[in-house]
Amino acid sequence: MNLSFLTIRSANRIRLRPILITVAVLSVILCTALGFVSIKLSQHAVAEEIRKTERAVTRLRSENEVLLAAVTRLSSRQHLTSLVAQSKIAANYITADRVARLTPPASDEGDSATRTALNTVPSRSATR
Amino acid sequence: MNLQARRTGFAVAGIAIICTAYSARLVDLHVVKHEEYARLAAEKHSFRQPIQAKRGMILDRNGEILATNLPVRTIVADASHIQNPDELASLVAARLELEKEAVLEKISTGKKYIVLKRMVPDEVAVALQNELQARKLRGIYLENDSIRTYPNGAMLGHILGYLNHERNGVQGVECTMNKELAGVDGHRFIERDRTGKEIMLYRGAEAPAEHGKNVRLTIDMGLQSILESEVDAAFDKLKPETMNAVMVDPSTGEILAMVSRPAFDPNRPGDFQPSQMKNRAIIDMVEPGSTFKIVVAAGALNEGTVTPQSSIFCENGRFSYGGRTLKDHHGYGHMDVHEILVKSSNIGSAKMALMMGGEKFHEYVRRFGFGERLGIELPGEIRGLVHPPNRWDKLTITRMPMGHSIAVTPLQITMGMSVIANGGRLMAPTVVKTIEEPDGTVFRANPPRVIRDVVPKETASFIGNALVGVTQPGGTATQARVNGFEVAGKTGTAQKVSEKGGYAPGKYVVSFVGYMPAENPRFTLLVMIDDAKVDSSVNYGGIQAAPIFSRVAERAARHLDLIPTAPSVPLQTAPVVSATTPNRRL
Repeated sequence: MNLSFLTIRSANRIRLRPILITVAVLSVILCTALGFVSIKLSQHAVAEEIRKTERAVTRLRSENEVLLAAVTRLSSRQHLTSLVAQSKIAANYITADRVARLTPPASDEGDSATRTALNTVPSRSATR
Repeated sequence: MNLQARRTGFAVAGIAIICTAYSARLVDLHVVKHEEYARLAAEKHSFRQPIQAKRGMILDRNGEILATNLPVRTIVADASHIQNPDELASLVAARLELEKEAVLEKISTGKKYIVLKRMVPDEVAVALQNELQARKLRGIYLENDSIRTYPNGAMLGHILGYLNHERNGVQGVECTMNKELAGVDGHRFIERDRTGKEIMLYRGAEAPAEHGKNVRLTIDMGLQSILESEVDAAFDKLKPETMNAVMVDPSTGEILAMVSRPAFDPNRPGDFQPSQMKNRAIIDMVEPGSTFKIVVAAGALNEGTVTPQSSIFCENGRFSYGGRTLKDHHGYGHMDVHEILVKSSNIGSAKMALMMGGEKFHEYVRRFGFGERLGIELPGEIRGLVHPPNRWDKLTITRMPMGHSIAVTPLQITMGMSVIANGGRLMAPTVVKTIEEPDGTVFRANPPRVIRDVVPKETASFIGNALVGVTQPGGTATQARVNGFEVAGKTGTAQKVSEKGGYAPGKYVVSFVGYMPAENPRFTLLVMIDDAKVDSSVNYGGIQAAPIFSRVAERAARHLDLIPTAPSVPLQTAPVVSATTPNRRL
C-alpha cells in the first residue's frame, strides 16, 4: 500500500490555533456573561441585605426614640411629682438643721495657697 | 451606464440623507436632550422618598429634656397592590381600631395613595406589618412620622410653645428657634417592583436629612418647679385674674424660671383658649407701682440732684401739685433717699423727679430699659408705653416716679431691678443658653450681653442698701425676708387700669421684686398678682406678693446651695389671705 501521498505537508491537519482562539473568545464571553450574572445576583443579594439592615436600623432607632420618650416622661418632674403626691415615692425636704457643711480649707495669707496635708510644713515638735 | 450610475448615486445620497437625519435625531435624543428625557423617564417609574429630619430637642440648662419627639406611623394603602381586599380590610380594621366597612370603602377606590390612619403608635404599626407579612397580604405601607411631646405638661408651656399641623413652631422657643430645631428634610429617589418593594439596585440620588439642633435653655427646671408650685398655690388661694413671676440671674440676664397664669398644656393646645396661651411676662403691660421708685432714686443720685444725705420734705403725707393732691400711705416729714425708698414715699419720689426735671427723668426711665424691647428670644415681646416729656400732662412728672402714667412689662421690671443687683448694668434677658448639635457639641453659644451701663456701681450699691432696708423691720416688705439671708427688694401696688379707661375701682396689681443674697445676688425675682380676690385693706405687694417671694427664695437658696450669711431671724408667719370671692381659674 502506497502511503507516500500521506506526507505531513499534504495532510488535512486539524487547525488548533483558530479553534483555541475561538474557544478562548467564547470562554471569555461565557465567563464574562456568567460573571455579569453572578455580579448581578450578588448585587441583588447585597441590596436585599442592605434593605433588611436599613429596615432593622430604622426599627431600632424608632424603638430607641420610643424608649427615650418613655424614659423622659417617666423621669419628668410632672410624673415624679404625681408619684410623690400619690405617696408612691417618699420624699422629704432636707431641713437646714440636717445639712452639714465642711469648713472651707484655710489658706495662708502669705501665699494664698490652700493648706493641705501634703503641703503643710510639720511643726517642730512633730519632727522630733 | 451613466444613467445607472446617476441613479445609484441618487439612491445612496437619499439613503445617506435619511440615515444622517435619523442619526441626528438619535444624537438629539441621547445627547442633547438626555437630561430632559432621563428626568421624564425617572418620573414615570421612580418615587421621591422623603427622609424626615428629626426635630431637635429642647433641654433645660442641666440637660433635662423639655421637648422631644415620639415616633408614630402613618398607615397608607396602595389599592393597585391589593389582591385580597376583604381579608386585608378585616385585619387592618381590627389592628387600627377602624370600621371594616370604612377601610373597605377606602381601598376600593383604586387609588395608589390612601391614608388609612395617622399617628399610629410605633408598636401597633409594626405588629400590623408583621401580621401582613405572615399572611402574605400586600398593599399596606408604613410611613414614618413623629409627634412632639412635652413631658412636663403645662409646666413651662409659655416658654416652650407648641407646633402647628405643619410642624412649625407657633409660640415660645419652638417658634423663635424653629429654623434651628426643624432641620432640613432629605430625600432619595427609589424604584419599586410590582409588589411595591424597593429595588435597591436602582436607588437614585440621595440627599441626607439634616437633623435639627438641640436648644439648651437657661431655665433651671429645679427653680422652675419651685416657682410653679408656689405660684399655683397662690393662684388657687388668691384667685387673681392673672399672675406671673420671673426669676433672672442678674449678672448674666439669663432667665432661670418664668411662670405665667393661667397656663396651658402644649401637648394639647387645642383644648385651651388664646388668653391662656399668653406669656404675660412679656406681652402684658402693667403700671409697675412703687417698684418704679428705684428709677427716680438712682437717676437723682447719679445726676447729683440729691445726695445720700439730702433731706426731702415729704409734706406730712399730702402734697398739692398741678391742682391735685398726692398722698402718702402715712404722713412723713423730712426723709433722705434711703428712707424714701424704705418707706416707699410717693411724695418724696415725686419731689426727686421734679428736682431732676422731666427730660432727665425720662432719660433714666429709658436707660433702665423701659419703653423698649429687651430682645428676649420669645415671640411677641412688647415695648410698653413710655410717653416722651412733650406728651406729658402737668401731673405726669409726679405720677410716673411712683409707677403710674407708664406701662411696662413684668420682664422689664425684673431686668430694671437686676440693674441695681448687678452693679448698674442693663443685661439683655435671654432664655437660650446654647444651640447644640445632636451629639452635644456646641454649635452656637449665647454669651451674656450688656445692653448699656445705666448707673455707676456706687449708685447701684446705695440703692441696693436702701432696698435691703425695705425688707427689714420698719420697711414695707418685712414678709419678704428669708432666714439666713439678706433680701433686697421693693414692693409695688398699683390700681388696675380699666379696659373702659381710667382705673378699675377696688382692683389692684400688686408685686414684689427683689434679689438675694443682697451682698452677692444669685437671682432677681418678681412676683406679680393681678386683681387678687382679697379685701382691699390687705391687697398690697408687701402682704400678698412678698410672702410668695420669701417662700420661693428660701427653696431656691436650698436648690442653689447658697450658704446662709445673715444671722437667723424668726420669720413672721405670713399666711396668704384667702380669696373673698370665687374666681374662675382657666
